[in-house]
Order: sequence, then structure tokens, then C-alpha cells
Amino acid sequence: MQNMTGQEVLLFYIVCDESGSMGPNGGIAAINQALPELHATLAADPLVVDKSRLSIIAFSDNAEVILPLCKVTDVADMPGVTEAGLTNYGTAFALLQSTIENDVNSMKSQGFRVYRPCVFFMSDGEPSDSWELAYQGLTNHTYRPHIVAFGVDGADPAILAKIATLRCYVGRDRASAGRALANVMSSIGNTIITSASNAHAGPANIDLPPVIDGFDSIPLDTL
Amino acid sequence: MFNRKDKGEGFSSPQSEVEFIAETFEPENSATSFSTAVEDSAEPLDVTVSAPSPPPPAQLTDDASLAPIISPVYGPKTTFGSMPWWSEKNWWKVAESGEGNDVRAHVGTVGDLALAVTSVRGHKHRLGGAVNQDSYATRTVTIEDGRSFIIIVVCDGMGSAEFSSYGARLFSQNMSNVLALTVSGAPDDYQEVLIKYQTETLDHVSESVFKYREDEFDAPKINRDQVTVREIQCTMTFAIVPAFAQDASDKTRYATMGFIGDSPAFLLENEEWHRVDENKDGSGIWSSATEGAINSEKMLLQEVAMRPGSALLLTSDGVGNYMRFGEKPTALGHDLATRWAQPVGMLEFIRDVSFETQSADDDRTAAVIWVDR
Repeated sequence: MQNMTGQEVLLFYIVCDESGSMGPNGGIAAINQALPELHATLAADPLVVDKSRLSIIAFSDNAEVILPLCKVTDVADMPGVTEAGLTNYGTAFALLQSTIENDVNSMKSQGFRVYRPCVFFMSDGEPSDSWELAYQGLTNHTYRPHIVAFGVDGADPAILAKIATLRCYVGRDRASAGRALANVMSSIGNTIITSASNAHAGPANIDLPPVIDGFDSIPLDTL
Repeated sequence: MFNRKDKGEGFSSPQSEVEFIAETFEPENSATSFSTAVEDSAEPLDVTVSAPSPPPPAQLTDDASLAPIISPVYGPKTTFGSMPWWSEKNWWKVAESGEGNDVRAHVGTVGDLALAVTSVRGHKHRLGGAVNQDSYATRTVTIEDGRSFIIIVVCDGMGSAEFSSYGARLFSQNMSNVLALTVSGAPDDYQEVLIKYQTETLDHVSESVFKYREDEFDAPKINRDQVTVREIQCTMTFAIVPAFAQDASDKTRYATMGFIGDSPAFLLENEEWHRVDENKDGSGIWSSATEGAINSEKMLLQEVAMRPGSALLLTSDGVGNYMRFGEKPTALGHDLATRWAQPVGMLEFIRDVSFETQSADDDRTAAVIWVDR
């Protein structure tokens, strides 16, 4: 159709664990402090604004899209997370799959060139549910996203390494989950800015930092 | 004369090992609102002012007379283009090296050919205070019997290469010189010469890129022994177009084109664009490999038949990737197919290439050769 522009867009999803344990360890507070800072950082970069879209999903017993996919400059106030319940990875993956499917189809129908989405998944604990089936549904989908996993506190490195498709970072110091998550959010901001800047009229890199302060990079499973 | 598309050779380049981990999905349906309308513009300064009073502040206006110098907007207005370049945002920085090449342009005629070429620094490099990494070179050849040719080479410096703007400039210049020598020496057989000696040609040009002196204009400020191919790498597209018809029956001429890398080229006929470089992997997914010209051993060579009224467009991907979406022309492609059906003025041409589309933040270079003007 003659009214298409061929505009490219990178889709980023931040998936936050807001289970009950995230309150006492400072994770909730850290995320809620970092999200507005992330928003300000991204909104100040015109390349990010024009080329990327951001969505945030929070999960515990259930999963919820707390920020539907949007341009960062369309957000007046960033939402926050609230501690509640268990750590059901499966509900997060199921919601992520349906959300990504709807978002990508919507963007494509509007004439966008859509790059494969990138998910930043962060958790402080082991999953409370049987998550594998939902994960397979997500990663076997045509629109399967790239997944970067971040673990703090009681997160199981082995499980996160199975979930991650690009890279897995696990915090070294279990006592400082709040500070670690602040570093994670900062790294997410840098990754989005660098990836948006490097994606121009062609293939895009998800440009991850090799090192995050206080984290070990965990090798992913090889087949 | 070789057959179109058949005799060029594919190749691979060892310099392009960047791992790309994201790709586009194929387009499906499309229904988006868009606007090609000229948007925010600045009032002209009063050139007759004689008193030393400051000029009036620029204001937004809907003055249609300014249309030729205002960038056209396709789709939603871009964030970058939503404010003047001198705004307090500091999104449009002077290049640290000073030679940012915000705009280069050439127009002119040779025989029955008309040429317009321009290169415009992209938003990404304006934001970062970096230089335009695209470059081009053009020249003409006229042999003793009066036949003339036009040569145009477009190079796109690879984004990850620190000195790629210099590599693109030198490679395009030196390649155009070698092509001119080839055409001069074999005006009836230069295609066969290029096919046969493409490795030697590319070797010669690649070597010449590294023969700079450290104090040369715009050259890397480090010893050339320390500069790797990856740091200076660029793509390359060239065209040699005869300024005369080679087929008397239908006044067709045959452009010779060479490609290394992902810079698209198009033939414009009857106000429709036809992409003339091949889809490298045929998958429909954007290729993750951007091949580099420097030290490549082979290039894709092909011949393009140009009939009266047609035009050839060479671009860097900052323009070419926004001409089509799937099998359909974009709003930009459709607009340019009409606007560039005939030669246009230099300022109009620069304006057209300075289009605003969200996410189109790369450097832009476009060269159009109109035949039988």
C-alpha cells in the first residue's frame, strides 16, 4: 500500500517479579524507583523514542500488563509494582506470549517493520509453578522473543539459564537485591538505547553489556 | 556484453562477522495513516536587512512557498524532526572532526544523461556528533570517438567501523578512477574486463585505501599500520552508464552495475521502482550479513537495460530501505517515483533525500541518472 513508510520498530518487554519476597529484600522499592528513571533516560533519546516501544509486565500469582506497549514519550507516569503472592513464571510466559502476538500483529498491520522482540525477565526466586509448557509455547511461537534473564536473591541460576535465550545474569550478593535490581534497570536502559541506535535500516543487534556490576554472567545451555 | 543478472558472481567477505540477533518479520497487512504534507517550517530571514538588528526568531509557518526547502514527512512526525536543529536539545551536533558532511551534492549533464547525487548526514550521527559515513564519487569519461559515459560509485561506511567514513570516501574515489581507466581502455569491452579482473580491481582499490598519510585531510589520526580492515570497511555500489543508446531499434542502453554489500539500487520506469540488486539469500528476511568492499575478492556484477525515460537510482540503505515495504512501494517510494520521473533541481533533490520518517536515522545517499533527458 502506498501509505506505508517502512518504519522499523524494536519491541522491548520488561517482565518484573513482584512476588511476596520482593518486598523484604528491597526489590519492589528498587524497581519502583528505577522505572521513572528509566523512563526519563529513554524519553530523552530521540532515536529510542522513534524506533522502540516498551511494555512492562508484572507477575506473582497472576501476571498483568502494567504498561501496554507504547512509545516512551506517550507515558505520563510510569506504573509501579506491588508485592503479592507467589512466583508463577508460567503465568508470566503465557501472558507474554499472547501480549507479544497481539502487539506484533498490531504493529505489522500498521505497516511497521517489526524486529524480533526482546524480553528482560527479572526474578528473585525459584518458580512456584510448572512453567515449562508456557515457556515452550512462548519460545516455539513465530514471534518468539529474545530473552535476557536477571536473577537476584534466591533465583536459581540453572533455571534462569534455561529461560534466557541471549544472556543470563545472576547477582552475586544475595543480601543486596535492591541495589542489584537498580543496576539491572540501568543496564536495561543502556541496552535499549544502544540497540535502538545500532538498528538502522537493516538488521538489529540487542547490544547487551558484557558485565553488570555485582552480577555473574551465566553460560546458557548448549544443545 | 553479459546477460543481466547471470554473469555476476556471488561472494562472501570475511570482514563481516558481526552477529545480528534480531530480524524483521515479513509484512502482512498494511493500513496506516500517513502524511506527506510539509509540516513545520521556518519563515525566511529578511535578506534586505541593513541595520545590525538581530534577525527575527524563527517561527513555525504554513507558508506553502517554503515547500521546496522543507523536508517532507512520511508517517508520524519524527521526534528528531519536531524541532529546529538549533534547539536546546542539542540533538544536532557539529561533528567532532569538523568534517561532518551534513550535505554534499552534485548535479550535471553528460550527453543525453542527467545526474543528481547527494549525501546527507543522518539523525543518528547528528545526535552523536559523528560524521556522515556515506560517500560517493562521480566522474565522466569521453573517448576519442566522442562517446561519453558517466560513472557513479556509492559507498556506505559500516557503522561499527571507526574510520569507515574515510574508507567510504577513498574507496569510492579510487574505484571511480579505476572504472574510468577501464572504460577508457576498453570502451566496448569493459564489462568483460570487469568480470575477468574483478579480483585484481578490488585488490588495487583496497590497497589504495590504506596508502594514506597520517596527516592527510580527514585521514585516521593513527598510523595506517594500526588500522584494520574492519575499522575502515564500507559497502560499494557502482554504475557505468553510456551517454548514448547502444540499441538503435529501441534506443536502449545498458548500465553496468557492481555491488558489494547491502546498498540497494533501483530502476525507475513508468513511475515504478524495480529493485535491480539481488536479494542475497532469497529468504525475504533481511540479511544479517553486510559484506564489506575492502579486501573483497568478488562483486555482484549485472547489466541493467535502460530505455528512454528511465532512470537509475543508487542509494545507501538509509534511503533504499525506505523505498519499498515487502513488494509494495512505501509512501516515500511512491512519491519519489513521481517526483524523480524527470530530473529535478539540486535543492529539490537534497530536500527529497532529507525526508523525515520515524526510525530513518541513518546517513542517506542517493544518485539518480536519467537517460535521454
